[in-house]
Amino acid sequence: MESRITKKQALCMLVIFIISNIPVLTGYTAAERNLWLAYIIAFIAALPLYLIYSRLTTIYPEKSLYEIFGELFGRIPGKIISGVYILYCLNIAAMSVRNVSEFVNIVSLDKTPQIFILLCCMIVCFYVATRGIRTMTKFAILFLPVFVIVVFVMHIMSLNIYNYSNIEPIVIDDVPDVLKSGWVCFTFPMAESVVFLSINSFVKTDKGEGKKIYLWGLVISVVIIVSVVLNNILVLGIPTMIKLYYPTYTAISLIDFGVVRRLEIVSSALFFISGLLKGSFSLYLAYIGYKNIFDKPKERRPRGYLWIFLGGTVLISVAAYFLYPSIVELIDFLYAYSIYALPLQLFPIVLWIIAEIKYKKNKNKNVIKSDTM
Amino acid sequence: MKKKICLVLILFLIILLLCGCFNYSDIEDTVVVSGLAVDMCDDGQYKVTAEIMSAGSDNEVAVETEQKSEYGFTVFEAIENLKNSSGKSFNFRHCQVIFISEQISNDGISDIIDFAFHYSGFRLSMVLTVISGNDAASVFECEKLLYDTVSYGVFDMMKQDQIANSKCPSAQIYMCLNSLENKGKEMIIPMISVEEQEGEGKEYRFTGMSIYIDDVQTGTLSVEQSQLFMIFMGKTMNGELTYNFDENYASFEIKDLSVSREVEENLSVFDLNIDMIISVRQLPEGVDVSDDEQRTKLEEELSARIKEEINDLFLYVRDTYGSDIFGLGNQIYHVNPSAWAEISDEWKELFKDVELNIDVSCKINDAGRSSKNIVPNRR
Repeated sequence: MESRITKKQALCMLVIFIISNIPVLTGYTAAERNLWLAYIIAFIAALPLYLIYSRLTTIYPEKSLYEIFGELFGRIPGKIISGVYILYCLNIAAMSVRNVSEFVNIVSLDKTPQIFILLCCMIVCFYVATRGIRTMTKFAILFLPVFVIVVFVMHIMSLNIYNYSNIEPIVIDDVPDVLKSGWVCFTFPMAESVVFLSINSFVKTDKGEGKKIYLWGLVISVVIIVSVVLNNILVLGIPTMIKLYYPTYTAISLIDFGVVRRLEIVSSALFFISGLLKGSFSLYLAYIGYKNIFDKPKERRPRGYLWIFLGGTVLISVAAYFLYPSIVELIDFLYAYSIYALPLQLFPIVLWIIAEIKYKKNKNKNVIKSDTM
Repeated sequence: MKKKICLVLILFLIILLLCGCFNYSDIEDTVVVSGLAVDMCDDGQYKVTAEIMSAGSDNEVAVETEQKSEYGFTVFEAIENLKNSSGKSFNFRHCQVIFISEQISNDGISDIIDFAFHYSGFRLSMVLTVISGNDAASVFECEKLLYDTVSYGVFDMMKQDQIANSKCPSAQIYMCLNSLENKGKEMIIPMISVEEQEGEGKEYRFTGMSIYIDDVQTGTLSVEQSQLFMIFMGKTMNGELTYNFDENYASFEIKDLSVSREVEENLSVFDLNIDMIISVRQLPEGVDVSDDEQRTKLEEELSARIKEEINDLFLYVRDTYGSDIFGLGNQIYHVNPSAWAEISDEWKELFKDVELNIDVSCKINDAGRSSKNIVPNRR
């Protein structure tokens, strides 16, 4: 068994997993000035799902998502479902890395071929993933406070350029658009954390501590995302914000606080690091699935599976390159993604119902056994 | 041993990557642009002039500037032609201002805003400025007063004005885009003129602002009107007011401003309340502001004058240009979106019938070092 991680490390990793792409990519939804509301709707929708995650961690403590599949559906069907989720992990990694490479390509290295940026990102992801979960989560616990501080400082420094009328009127005049945006925000990124259940085997969650990780993780992420979205709306205004691919980057670039200006490099660094961390982490989650499918010994460390990581890296690189032709098609892709990823994201509901039935049956059996004894 | 060989090979490979991008350009092949001027030619082509900064010659620590112009049917084509004809790569990340000729402003500037918004080489914090009368490129012929480049001089002049006098509105690219697309608010852009000074060459001067309907300039406001507009919008941070009291000039400094606007139910009458805290900088002769009665009288007189001027400005803009630069339509949208949806298409016509009730309240809070006038002993 690989070394364990603490609950705090898991929590920080979950938050970074959720917020990684959003600080820069918040201008894609139709809700316009109600975008922040769309995120709150997504939060409300995600809340029961996260309660289900935490319940699953209580019923199956120290068992990864793939092991839960095996327990509930049997060996072979469990492995087939695990295979689907491995592909989903690789998909998430590909999206994350592609977003990072697209960002670099658009805002700074516009003449560098994207495939080159993509490969550089993948080399980093490969290296980070092979270092193991402890390295990643230790980095997450170090990186998240920096992220939060930067967001806070960004708010303070933007106060003099806030235009509070940008957010008015606070009425929902286009309910279908807000709900549609809420749905996209739910699928990307909030419900993506279904794959995060795979790290259960590394964290102690038997006494309901899973609830703390998942609920606090969701709440902290939503607070960060909503505050960033509000900042973008107040600084840029709706017409500008909805036209930009990377509104947060632009909003930070407008900060003019005496001698402090041109801070967009900070947002670039945050986006870059968090995006690559999510990519690496998703690659690692796929690796956990691989180990489970092929019954590899848990004790063996990730460095013993370098070829598997390399294969995953190549797959992610190819998938990332062909995911969508250019940033122009990204919005359409996100809507398509929100449709095909939804069954996978809502599948834990089925897991939970079956798990509860089995759990109650086992409990009754135990009660009967103890009575007869 | 194998590991060491691999390490050495990797280190050699890294050397190849550390040399930079394959399509890099050296610093001596890059020119830094501080400002752009866009003019329209008779054949419908844009003439784009770039103010280029370069390091001083002969080991002097100084910045020298030169101008380079090119033509194109779009601004982008002209910029690409600039790059091609000079053989250098252009860095626009330090470009602060885009000067636009009044002719383009009269024809419509949405093309320029659209290009500036999309072109990733530009920063969205760049400021648009209209050059009154002359060609936009003529601004680069001005004397560089205290600054190395004209563009930076103009940019700092406007920035300083916003802090100290609040007469000059801000027109960054993203603000212009918001004004173009926002509901019920028209665009405004500061205006400067290039004037020939006897024996001193050309000088630039802030002369007010140009006002638009959609993206077409419909009129201009003077510096004084511009200042009143900023007070109307509540964007005045500081500023001086000078008035003539019976052949005596007196100056006041605005210390604090609070503006509130309300729209009445019929959506055609607005109430504007302005609360102003001011300091006396030069007292009218014979006035003693330490005396309650005299101070109140002065405050009332000031309030009445400001009210009259703001009302005149509003009527002038409404009746002469019909441009809702005050954002009254936008306010209706904020207060009552459903009502706005019904009237938004006819707002340009409805704006001409809008009434404004103004209430100005000035409070004098200090008079500098002394509240008493100097009384010269004229024997």
